[in-house]
Amino acid sequence: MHSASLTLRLTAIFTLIMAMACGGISLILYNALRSELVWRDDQTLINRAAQLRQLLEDGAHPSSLPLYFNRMVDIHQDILSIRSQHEQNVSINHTGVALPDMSPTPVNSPPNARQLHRWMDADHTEAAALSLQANSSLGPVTITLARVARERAMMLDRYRQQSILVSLAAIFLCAAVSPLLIRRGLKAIGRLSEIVAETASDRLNHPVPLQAIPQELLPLGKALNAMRQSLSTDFVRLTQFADDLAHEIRTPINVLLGQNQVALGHARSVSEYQALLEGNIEELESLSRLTENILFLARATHHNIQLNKEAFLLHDALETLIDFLEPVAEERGMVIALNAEGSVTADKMLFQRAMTNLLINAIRYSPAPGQIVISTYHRAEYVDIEVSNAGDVIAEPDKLFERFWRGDNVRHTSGSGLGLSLVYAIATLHGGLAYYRHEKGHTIFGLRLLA
Amino acid sequence: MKLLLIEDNLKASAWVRKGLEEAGYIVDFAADGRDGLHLALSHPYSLIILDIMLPGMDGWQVLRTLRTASNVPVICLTARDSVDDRVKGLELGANDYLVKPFSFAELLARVRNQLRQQQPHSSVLRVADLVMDSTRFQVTRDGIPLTLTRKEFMLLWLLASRHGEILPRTLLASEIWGVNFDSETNIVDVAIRRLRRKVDDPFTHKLITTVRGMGYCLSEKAPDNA
Repeated sequence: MHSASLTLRLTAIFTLIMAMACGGISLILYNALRSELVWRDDQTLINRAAQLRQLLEDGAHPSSLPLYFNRMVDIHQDILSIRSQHEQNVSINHTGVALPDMSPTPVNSPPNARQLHRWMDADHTEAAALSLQANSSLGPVTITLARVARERAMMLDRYRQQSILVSLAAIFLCAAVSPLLIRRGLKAIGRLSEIVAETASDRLNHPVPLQAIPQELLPLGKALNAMRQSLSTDFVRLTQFADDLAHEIRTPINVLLGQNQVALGHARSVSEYQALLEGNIEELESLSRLTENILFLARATHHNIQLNKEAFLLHDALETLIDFLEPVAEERGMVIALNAEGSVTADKMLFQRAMTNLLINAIRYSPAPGQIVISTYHRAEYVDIEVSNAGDVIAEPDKLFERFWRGDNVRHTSGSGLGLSLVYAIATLHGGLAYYRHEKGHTIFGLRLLA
Repeated sequence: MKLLLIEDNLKASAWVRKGLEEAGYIVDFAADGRDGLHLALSHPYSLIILDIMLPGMDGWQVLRTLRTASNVPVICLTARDSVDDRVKGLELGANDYLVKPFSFAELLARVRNQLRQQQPHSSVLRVADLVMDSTRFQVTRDGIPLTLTRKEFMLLWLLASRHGEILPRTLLASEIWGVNFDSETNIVDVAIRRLRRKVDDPFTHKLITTVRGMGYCLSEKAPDNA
């Protein structure tokens, strides 16, 4: 199953963020506006009450106050009530909201916001009232002023609605536009994909043009280039390997075909047929050995070989090999000297196989008569086992360990050209490596294994 | 001696049977694990050659079931050659193990090896005029003592103790030098050549025969292509 589309996911995230931002901003602004309006209403109420109280103290007649009041206020939301024990009560109330009972603020204390009495009317509109005692020329009176905040409520309502509308518009716009923008942004990925998809095997070594892709995709671009580079190298190697393999197989197959066809052309003696079959077996054996070696190399490359590791003494393991190889060495006039100590943990059979290959090369290709020296060097983390013999510098040393590589001077001799690549594969399997160097007229091949 | 071959590939089983029959054995044959196991449990075979990659019941199962009832020597054949397969085979009680593709000479040598293990060894060997004494490490031909190195003695002993048999080079390398891989060299040939120089060259009657494409053979009768 595919994971949800990137565009879809990003759009959802953007929209969510937009919704949260709009909601948050609207809420904060709404609250600020609301508290500002409440504060203003309260101040108006307090100032007005103080003014009325002052008027009364200055000698105004309570019954004249409504006149002032009517000019000062919006009678649809403001209420005035003046009670006096001597005079007739004055009440201006067009709001239809009844004033609650409350204790008036004494004469000598100035009015403030704390003395406000707040309540909700039947329409759920906020209301605030302030009651004051005052001394008029006719004796003490109680002034009660109230405001039912209808205008404020309407204003806030409008504000709320507009906020919601604007927020919704912004969210919808975000939801509609983000995919377009995201798709545009992701086009670079599409372009990169096209470049990669267009790549044929022969164009692997052309790198992806990194300047054409945005910075965020640079790591991907670089990784792709690195991959293409190694693919290209592998591809060349593989093609070369297939060519070499075909060549190696073609030769014995041609021999087999040819000698069998020639043999069948005429009736032959039993011994001739026998010789033919023996010849066939020899060719087939070399083919079989070739496939075995190639199989081993292929599996070693993929680390598909289980190592049977054991600790063994280098001297003993190498002495066994010298014992084995000595007759051949002697025939070529070579003497093998062993200078080994210590032990190593490795697959003993593979170790001996690698060393046999190195030794056989030394026996075959060094000038005879001469001496071959096997030495071991224990370093901190690894052991070097070196085979040294007199010899000239080898041309193209970096190709030595490649499959089927054979120096021009040895192409006519026996061997499949897999010996050194087998050595290398065995070393790699053990986490080590194989190396070559030329030193003071000596050819030195080494096997480096982890100690 | 009667052998049982359990192998599903008919072409492969045909030549193995033919070869073994010509080597003087009676060979029964089964093409799948179930039949093979049935035959193995109902007849007294001297040796069983068992392919591991079988349809239905595979070689491991056959071997496991067989071992609960019988100790007959078993040589396993398999196309795989990883170490764990080899170990598994030996743990399950296989007596020997051959990786395909194998040469017939190799198979025959191993079959004889298994069959021989049930016979007692002697410390003195006589083949024609060759006399070998393994306790005193002495070799004579026609009464004339020969001087052999330790490895040469071991090589000659191996050839002589299995005289008349063709021993493949890989078997000689493995038995004498402990080299269990195909070394792609003519080392065994060189060693044999040196041995012949001491054992055969001074005498008119040659003992060691080269069988091209197969291996070496030490036999009493005069070889015609030595």
